[in-house]
Amino acid sequence: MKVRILSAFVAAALLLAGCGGTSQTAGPSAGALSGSITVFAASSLTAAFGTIGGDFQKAYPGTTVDFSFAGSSTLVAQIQQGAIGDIFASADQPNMQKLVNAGLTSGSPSIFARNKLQIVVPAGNPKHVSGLADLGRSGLIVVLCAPSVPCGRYAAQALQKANVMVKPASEESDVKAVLTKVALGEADAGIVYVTDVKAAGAQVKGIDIPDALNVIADYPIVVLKDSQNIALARAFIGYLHANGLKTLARYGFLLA
Amino acid sequence: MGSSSRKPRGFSAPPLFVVLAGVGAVFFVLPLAGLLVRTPWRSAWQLLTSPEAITALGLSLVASLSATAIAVVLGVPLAWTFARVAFPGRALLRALTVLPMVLPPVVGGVALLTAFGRRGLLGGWLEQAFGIHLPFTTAGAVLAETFVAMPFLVITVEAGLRGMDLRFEDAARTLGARRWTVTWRVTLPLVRPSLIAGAVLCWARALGEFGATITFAGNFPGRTQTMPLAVYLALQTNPDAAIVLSLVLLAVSLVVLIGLRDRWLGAS
Amino acid sequence: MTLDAQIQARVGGFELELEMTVASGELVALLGPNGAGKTSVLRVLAGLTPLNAGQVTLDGVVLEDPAAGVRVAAEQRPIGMVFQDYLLFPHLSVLENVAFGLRSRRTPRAMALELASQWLERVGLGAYAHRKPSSLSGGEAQRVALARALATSPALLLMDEPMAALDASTRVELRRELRHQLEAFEGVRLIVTHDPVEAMAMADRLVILEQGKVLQSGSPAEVAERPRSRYVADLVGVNLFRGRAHDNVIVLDGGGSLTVAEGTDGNVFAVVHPRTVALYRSRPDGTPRNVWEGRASNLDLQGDRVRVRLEGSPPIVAEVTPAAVRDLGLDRGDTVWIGVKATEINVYPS
Repeated sequence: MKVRILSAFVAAALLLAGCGGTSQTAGPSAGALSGSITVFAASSLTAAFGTIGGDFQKAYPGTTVDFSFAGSSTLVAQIQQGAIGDIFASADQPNMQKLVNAGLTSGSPSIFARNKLQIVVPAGNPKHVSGLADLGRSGLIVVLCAPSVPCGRYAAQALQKANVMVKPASEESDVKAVLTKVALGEADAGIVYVTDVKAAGAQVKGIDIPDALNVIADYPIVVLKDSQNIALARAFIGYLHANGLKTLARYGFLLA
Repeated sequence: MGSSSRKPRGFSAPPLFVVLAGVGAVFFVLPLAGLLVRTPWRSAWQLLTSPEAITALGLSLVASLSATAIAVVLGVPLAWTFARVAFPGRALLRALTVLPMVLPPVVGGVALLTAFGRRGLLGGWLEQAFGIHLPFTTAGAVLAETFVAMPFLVITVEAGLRGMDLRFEDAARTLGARRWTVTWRVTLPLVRPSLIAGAVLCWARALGEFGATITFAGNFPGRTQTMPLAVYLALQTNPDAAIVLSLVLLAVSLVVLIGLRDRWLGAS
Repeated sequence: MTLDAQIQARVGGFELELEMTVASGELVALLGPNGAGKTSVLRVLAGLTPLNAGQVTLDGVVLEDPAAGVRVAAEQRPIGMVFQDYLLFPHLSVLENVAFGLRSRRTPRAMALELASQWLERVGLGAYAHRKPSSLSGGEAQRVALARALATSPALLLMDEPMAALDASTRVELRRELRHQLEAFEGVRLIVTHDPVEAMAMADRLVILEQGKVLQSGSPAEVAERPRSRYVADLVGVNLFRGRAHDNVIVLDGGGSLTVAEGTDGNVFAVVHPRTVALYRSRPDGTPRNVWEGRASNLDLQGDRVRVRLEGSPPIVAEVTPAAVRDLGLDRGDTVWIGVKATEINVYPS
């Protein structure tokens, strides 16, 4: 009798979980997942992943998703030095490839989003920047990501395509730092992702870069080899592909 | 019998203390040992003499020495004022002077931006009136380093001045020395040990400054990329270079601290 | 050359109020118990501490007069000061120390060093020119400090307990030397000391200071003969009483009375030398007019004398031979009879 009531409850719970929210076919059932994972993600994913993480934890109660955001190259260095985590989401392929080559990944990376570059200027565009060509203007204070950081690499590619020589005032170690300097008004312009401009809201203004000159950034994601909770990690990535894309689009990411 | 009263007495510490002290010692020795073990000795010289490393080292030396010079010129009079002149608000001003020592350097950098940045209290005016622009310049890096390192000098010199027997100044005055002569020929020479210790500590701190520099002055090789910033970025692309550069900084700091040791740090 | 000072000053919660005049011919010693304000007086005269009211004039020049708004800074006064622990600048050599005053007053370096060298010779330390003060003995340091103060040819020389830091034997030796140097000095000399022997030996005039006020001023002999305070009395080693006299009887402030030879009226001091106090086992029947009972509270052997402290009305100190103590079988706590002749009591108005 007791066993039967218990199993009835379990079945009911599973059904309810199955019917509720956006939990659809791909994900495992709610009761099966538990524990916590740490996701190392490029800083351009800060806002989007924050929301997706929250959604995931609601869909799978009893699980915890922690994030560590930084420049992709910084994260790679940390993981190589032994930082313990479960997932790595990079803003470019080369950084992901470093980890793959080092044998620190489990399974193959999958691209889950794309991004593209945008010029960012302080609100009001005080120096009247209209395109990549303006960035080469003397006297203009331009801040870029450091060449080792994905957004720095991409920016260099775009500038080369546009044939513009820029002398940056500073090379920041992650894209958020570039954004901050521009938002504070310390820099006249910078090159960041469209998602960053969107996230910054009214503090800054974005100037589009025509697609011909722009660079499409592929964002790969992978489970790390030393993950302590591979099941949950895979579940998160699955959730991302299934349910997270809408959220990503909302934040300005392009679909993969 | 020992002649110096500063000689530590014989081995009589309780066993628990010895064990804890041992753990504490290992805590400090291990990171240095780790660095030494992981140093790629074969490529070390190459990495050290690469243009990036030399640029960063040169810039670090120039910036830290400039910061120390500014700290001496501004800090000694400030220390003197704190030690000798009672004025309303002295305690508060003194606390503000010490603040950069306990403030997270990045916070210091942000504060500097609000003061000297383009939209800052003073920065905006400096740019409009003189065309002086501090963020993203070597001068800005020097400013950031001065901000975090000067308190060390002020504190040390002030302590020296307070500990000095004021009657020496009285004696000088009765001999006919005017204020400036008293300060220059009596007071400052008497606190010379504190002056030196303060300047050296200031320089060492300026050399190792990172957070305020990267926030206020940014990062650009040859202009604002000092050694600590170079190490931080090298870590992402060339860990071997990062280790070698770290070793250089560590060695410099060690030499400084050993040079100062008992005479000015603690026992005096 | 004369120093004229009327001092009213507040020094760290302590009131100084005194007048003194010192001529260049006389060496004046400022004497007093600890905390009397002796060093403060020197600091005021040196200009290191300001006056609240009064005036300081040296050789006709007003150095300080708060009422008239005049205050000459210490560094501009023609003074030389020797401090209690000499305060030789540790980072300068002996020669540079002595030359310091000259150089501060804009004497060219070479000349200053030459003059300093001469002064060092004068105090017998010519060979020490390049030593550092830390390598000097107490006596040597004192001589350098003196040379340093005198090198600028001051008009007023102030010395704050110049012998205090020295041991007894060095003191005796240096006292003679100091006298010799001071005799050659032409300006006004003022020396502070708490050593009565030193004061008596060196000074022409004593000024006794107590709690910031001058209690007494006079030659060592005058002061010793007619002490006006317990401090001086103790210094000189006599019994001092205060009371109200009427004819030949003085009613003492502390209780008891004394009969004296001279008739006087009014408030008086009475001095009784301990050696004129006689002790008896039983009440004496004789000429001493003053006879009373007392209890021996302390016996102190000093050389070939014994000082007996007696409680009674009045209390008194007697000085007797050890043999007498033996004969009397005198011990602490014993009761004895005290006898003092009226003719042995020195009375003077207070």
